[in-house]
Amino acid sequence: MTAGRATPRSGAERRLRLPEPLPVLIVACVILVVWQLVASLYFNASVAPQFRDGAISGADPKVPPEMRVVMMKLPLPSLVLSALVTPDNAPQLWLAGLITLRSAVIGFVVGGLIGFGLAVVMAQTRLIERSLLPYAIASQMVPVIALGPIVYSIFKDENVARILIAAYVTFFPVTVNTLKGLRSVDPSALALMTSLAASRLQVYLMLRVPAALPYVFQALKIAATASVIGAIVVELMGAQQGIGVTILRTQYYGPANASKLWGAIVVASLLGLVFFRVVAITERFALRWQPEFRA
Amino acid sequence: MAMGLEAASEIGRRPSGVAVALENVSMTFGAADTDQAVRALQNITLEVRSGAFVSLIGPSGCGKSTLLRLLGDLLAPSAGIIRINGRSPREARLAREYGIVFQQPVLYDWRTVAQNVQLPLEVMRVAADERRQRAAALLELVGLTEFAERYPWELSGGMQQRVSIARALSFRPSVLLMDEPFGALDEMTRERLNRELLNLWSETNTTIVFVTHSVAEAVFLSDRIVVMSPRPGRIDTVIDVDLMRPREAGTREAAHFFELVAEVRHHLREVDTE
Repeated sequence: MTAGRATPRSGAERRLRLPEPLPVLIVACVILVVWQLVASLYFNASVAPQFRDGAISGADPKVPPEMRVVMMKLPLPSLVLSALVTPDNAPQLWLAGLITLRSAVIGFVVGGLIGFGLAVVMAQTRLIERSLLPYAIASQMVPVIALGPIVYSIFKDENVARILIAAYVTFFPVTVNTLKGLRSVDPSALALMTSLAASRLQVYLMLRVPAALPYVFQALKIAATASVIGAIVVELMGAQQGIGVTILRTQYYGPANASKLWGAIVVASLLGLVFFRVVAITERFALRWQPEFRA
Repeated sequence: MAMGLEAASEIGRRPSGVAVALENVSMTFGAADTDQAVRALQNITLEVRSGAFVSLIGPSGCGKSTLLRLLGDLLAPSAGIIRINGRSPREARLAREYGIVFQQPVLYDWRTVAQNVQLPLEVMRVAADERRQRAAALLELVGLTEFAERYPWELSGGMQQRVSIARALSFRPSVLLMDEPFGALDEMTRERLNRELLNLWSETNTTIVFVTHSVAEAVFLSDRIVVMSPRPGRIDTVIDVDLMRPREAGTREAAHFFELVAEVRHHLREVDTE
């Protein structure tokens, strides 16, 4: 509507830019092609011709053991891809992945809220910060491996376990970064609020929280991937469903499941990647005013 | 009734009351009587008429910014009494009598220009309709109507400082405290904003206390110039500026303008070599 907005804003906007997924996809293709070549060479060199079909299916007992594990060590990407798209595998790969992701996301939200709230409480006075922060730090020294069995024995529910652990790994970075953000407000911006006799709540809502958001998002991006890892790790200790369970079982059941195991690894990393991207896109939208996102 | 009317007409556009009064104000940073104690201000006594434009000028370390912060209740004096329209600085601040403009624009990056101007009104819970109207009127006044929906970082430094002034005036404060507001701008922009500021000031009854390093700026803008000396900060002289108003670009070429500039310079040289 305004004439000013219709005019091109700057050269930067018109600068030629590759669509974002393109470079990523090119790298993926290069890796896959190289991997396929190396894996086939390795496979053909290690497995005698008469055992090749058996080594791939993993079902033939006549194949010598050292030839059977070849697929486990370096699988053919073509077989991994076909494992990923085979409808029979969908429940164990994609559905399991979604179950894990759902818990991780819920835990991430819960942990994010707790972390943020804790930071706001600690930001009130140095005394509260000094009293609480050491415990928050100590909590991160306890490995998830040690917590998993305890959580299971208390709650006896794998969803609760996943959510708790995802929340547990999320809250800490959010607390530390938010606290720093709330404290890093420009003194003049604060003096302005003081001169306006703004209430404490107004100072938070209108100044401290918006100013802390870049710090919060930095933590959320770290926590997005960490919460997925946390959920997967806790699944290894007694869950019945989830991508962690698939990884564990395909390992137990041996070389016949090699390509499914690798498929599960691909799914697990995709979960973290997608979650990270969602948070990063939200950040870009919420922090349009940040220097790095300015058009 | 009749007397009341008479009195009101006598007061006229520029009320003659005292807006700012300081009596023997001293400020020491750090614990007194120790090596760390820094005496920033000593025995400052000053009165500023309502609606007047007063500049504080002096070398670095003369405490002029500290004095401004004392007036705005951003600092409390170690000794002495400050009255703003008959109230303590704290009471005046809580009554929202101050608009503040800093050397940096201090705009909130996440707010558009219009939202930045509305910030004080939001803090004061003014209704949204009125907020928008007042912001629009002020942006018109500072010539930034077409930038209302832009973000601060899309504006030049001079434009940002105009937004900052519009924000400070948005709630019609009775006292405007300005801490070297044009110090970071180039000479041309500074002179243009000087004229704009005088226009804005003539449309309000605001008392302005203005800290500056620039002698020409102080002479062009002020009714009175307070020359301060450093370590500890004291008032050296108060110079009345009897240049005609309204002051325009031509004022800077008047012979009397140069005389006043020379006079202020003379005093500044004196305090600097003490």
